[in-house]
Order: sequence, then C-alpha cells, then structure tokens
Amino acid sequence: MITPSPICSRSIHIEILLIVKQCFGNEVGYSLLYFNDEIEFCVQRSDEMTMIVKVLFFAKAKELCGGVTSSSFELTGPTTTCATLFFPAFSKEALVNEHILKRFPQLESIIPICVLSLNLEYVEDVRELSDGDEIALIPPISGG
Amino acid sequence: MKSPWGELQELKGASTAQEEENGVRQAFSNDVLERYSRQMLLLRFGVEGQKRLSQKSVLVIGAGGLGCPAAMYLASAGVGRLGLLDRGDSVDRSNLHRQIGHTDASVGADKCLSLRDSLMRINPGSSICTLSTGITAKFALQLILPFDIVLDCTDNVESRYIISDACAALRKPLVSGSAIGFEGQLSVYCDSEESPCYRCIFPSPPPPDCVGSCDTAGVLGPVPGVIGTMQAVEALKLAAEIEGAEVCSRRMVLYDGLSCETRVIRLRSRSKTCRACGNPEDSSQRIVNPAEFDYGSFTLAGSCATPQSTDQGRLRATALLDKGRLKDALCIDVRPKEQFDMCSIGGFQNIPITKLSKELITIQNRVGDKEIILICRRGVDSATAVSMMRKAGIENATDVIGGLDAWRQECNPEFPTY
Ligand SMILES: [Zn+2]
Repeated sequence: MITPSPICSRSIHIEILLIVKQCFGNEVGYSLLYFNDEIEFCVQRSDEMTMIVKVLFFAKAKELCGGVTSSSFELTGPTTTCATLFFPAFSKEALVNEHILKRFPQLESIIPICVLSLNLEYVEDVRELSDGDEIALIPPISGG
Repeated sequence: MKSPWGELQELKGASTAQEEENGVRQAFSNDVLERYSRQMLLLRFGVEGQKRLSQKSVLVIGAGGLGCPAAMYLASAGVGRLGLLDRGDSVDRSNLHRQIGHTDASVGADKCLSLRDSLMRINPGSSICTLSTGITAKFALQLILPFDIVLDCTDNVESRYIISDACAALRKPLVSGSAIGFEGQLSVYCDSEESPCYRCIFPSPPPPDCVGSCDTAGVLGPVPGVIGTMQAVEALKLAAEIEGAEVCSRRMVLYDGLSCETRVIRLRSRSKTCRACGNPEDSSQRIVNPAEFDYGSFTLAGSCATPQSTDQGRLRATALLDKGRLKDALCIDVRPKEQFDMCSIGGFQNIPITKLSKELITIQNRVGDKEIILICRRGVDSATAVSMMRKAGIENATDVIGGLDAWRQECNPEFPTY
C-alpha cells in the first residue's frame, strides 16, 4: 500500500523531518511515508494503543450469531495524527478475517453481501478505526 | 407494446374546485373536504398538497404484510390512482396476523381483489386498478411506466432486483420496505439524480440459504405494519410534494422491534459502475431493460445448493402408519423447537437440526441397532440430518420424503397446516 517513491529527494526528506520534529518534539516516533505520490507523515507514539470496536449484527447476520446483537473486539495498532493514512491492520479484510470471522466463522457466506457502516455511515472499506467506533453488518432483508 | 394495465382512466383529481355557489367558495366538495380535512389542516400539506396527491398515481407491488398497511393509508389519503400488483396468491389464514387488509371471510380469495375490496370500503371514492400477475422481468417496464411512485412490498429477492432495475431505467422513485422476524428495513431509491438504486447498495444477491421468508422464519405482525406504514409516509411526502419534507433517500432505516431500536444509516450516492443506474466498464453488463436480464440465475449465483439427494433409502410418509416400526425406532423431529411445540407426530422427540451436531455422540451411544427415523416440515432438513449422521458413522438413519407436509397429504389430513 505504502511504497517509497522517488518524488522526494534526500535533502527535502530531511528538511520535512526537521519540521515534523519541531512540531512534535522528540517524545514521539515519526516517519515519512509516500502514498499515491503524495508525502504524508505519520506520528507514532512509542506505545501501541488498544482500542475497542463494537460490531453490530442485523437480520440474518444476527440470526447466524445466535441472536447476538453486538460484539466488541479489541484491536491493537499504532495511533496516528494523520487522517488519510491507510493502516493495513485496520482494513476491512483484516477486521473481518482476523477478528470477526475468528469469533463468528458462521458469518463467512453472508459478510460479502452485507452493507458495512461505520458510525452509521455507509463505507465500502475500513481505512482507520478509533476507540469506540461502531461497525454494523447489514444484510438485505427480503421478506414482506 | 400494449400496457398490461389496459386502458387506464385519466387522473381526475379529488373533484375539481367548486365554483362559488350560494355565496360559498370552497376548494373541494363537502365530502372531500371532510374526508381529508385532518391532513389538509397540516401546515405543509394544505389544499395544494391534497390537489397534488390527487393527481399522482402510486403502484403498490405485493398485497401482503407491507402492502396492506401501505395501500390502506394511501387509499385513505386520497391518492389519485392506486395500482395493486400481486402474483395471484390467495389469502391464507396464516397471513391474517399481519396482512391486515384481508379478513377471515376472504381466505382463499385473490389477494389483490381482497385488498381492493377493503380499500373501497375505507374510501369508496378511490381509483384502484389491480393485476394478479405479479411483477415479471418481461413486463416490468410496462407495469411500472403508468405510475409516478412505486412501493416495493414484495417478499423475495428476485422481485426486488426486477423492480429496482425497472425504476432505475425509468427513474421512478422507489419506496422499498422489507421485514422479517422482529426487524425491518426502509429506503427510498432512484428519487433524484444522486439517489442510488437497490443494486448500488446490494450489488450481489444474498446466497439462497441466507434468505429467510416469513413463512419459515416467522414474523411479528406489526413489524411489517411499521415498515409498510413508513412506506406510506414516504410515498405521501413524494406524492403531495410536502414542503420541507426529507425523503428517506440515501439513507436506510433499520428497525428492530425486539430491542425497540431504530438506526438510520447514511448510504452511498449513486454508483458510477452500477449495472442498473451507472455505466459499468463492460457496457454489456448494463441492464437497460429487465426483460433482457436473467434474474433466475443471478439470484441463484453463489448458491451452494447441494444436488438433490435421491429418494433411495428414504421413507414414504405412509411408512409412519406402521405403529410397530415407529415404536422400535428412534424417531427425531429436526424442526426448530417453536414449530415442534405447535404440532408434531406422537412418539417423535425434538432435536432441532441446529443442535444435532452436538447430540450426535449421545445418539450414537443410545441408538444401538435401532433404526433412526428423521422428519422435518418439508423433507429438506431431514435429508441434511441423515447425511450429517452418516458422516458421523451412524448408518441406520433414514428420513421421510416430503416431511410433515407429505404426512398430512398422504396419511393424516387432520395434521395442522401452519
Ligand atoms: Zn444503481
């Protein structure tokens, strides 16, 4: 996802790092990243952060989970002040495969057709998550 | 092509404004004023709203749990023309707890006609046209074309895609509702340029084994009532063009009656690559007319349907008449407990198929040389149960072809239907 790109010369790289250091000081770790040909920087706290994400199940997804309406998952990852970075650890695939399906393998066939929402907002993918986020798995209902 | 609806009368509106007579100026006849007064009193509705409503036509597809309340409110409110479309089902007694437009007296009658009769009793001035053909891909465009607003009150995946694709092609606002168990969903599609269609939100159909129906999974009567009623609210907002109204477009309402919680999800805008309302990269994927799309194979895609097992080694229902055989066998009914509690054959014990795998060892230890006879409602789950047992090394299990339905038809007409 994040690949070094030759758009930034070494001297510019160092210059940006110095600016970042002035802004954030020495207490935090940081790195420069290249994303879609744009330079972005990421400030990482030395400790990893654990966050709780709540996943809600609707209709058939709820039924397959034995009537469970929601389940909380503990995710661990770096904190960031950068809003547009893609964290593979929190991608939809990672969330689904490494967390949701591990606890509820019976959801495998229904997840691909579910609408996924993050804090009541439709999302195609999950890019970043924060503590307390609410994700909903919404399969279509057909009955009438 | 000729319209399947035949010649539709022109929308007359709720009788034209009356001339001044005896020094009185009034917008509508006394009867109309009185009938619709409570909604005309509304600040944003008024006489103008009533006039707009009376000049609009609304198509309700499905005369069941959603369609009944939706159509009843729309007819009561004085919609210019109401179309009712249902696939020609007749009213069943098991429909009545939720399909409130039908009565016990209309059990066995055509649903469209039964509902029309109810609507005419509520508002004799209604203009209602009915077709007991259901929505079909072949005629979808023609069926929908004469109407301004469409309500999807159907109960199956295929119809939902057909209706949405036709509404996307014709850019007709589609008020889509659905309900099962304690839960319902509501959304308005295709009502504006940015508004997505059903296919934008659900590009792939659910696998068939993930689709429940009210007939098998059950439904609390008022739940489709809530959703159908909300569909009527949305349709009235669209038809009367109520000022300041925000239609449930680009949003989906999720209602859970069990927890009494409602969530509103903000949906995406129209998808550029949607097969129905966008421009997919491969232009041959574009659905221009539902008549040219194979909905049958589309909704079966992703099906992991096991090939129909042969009936070899299975029992006819008549085998259960042999009391001695039943007595010597271990008889297991694999339906859910709720169904078993409603009615069962004497001598059968209940182990729901969902719990069977946990019980296999106990069964194996208990059964010895005994025969195991499995039964379910229609003979599908019991066949699955037999193969589960075979896999676990239990060889002497068999099941009843056609399940309890066959038992009723072939042996005991007194056995309840549900
Ligand atoms: Zn679309």
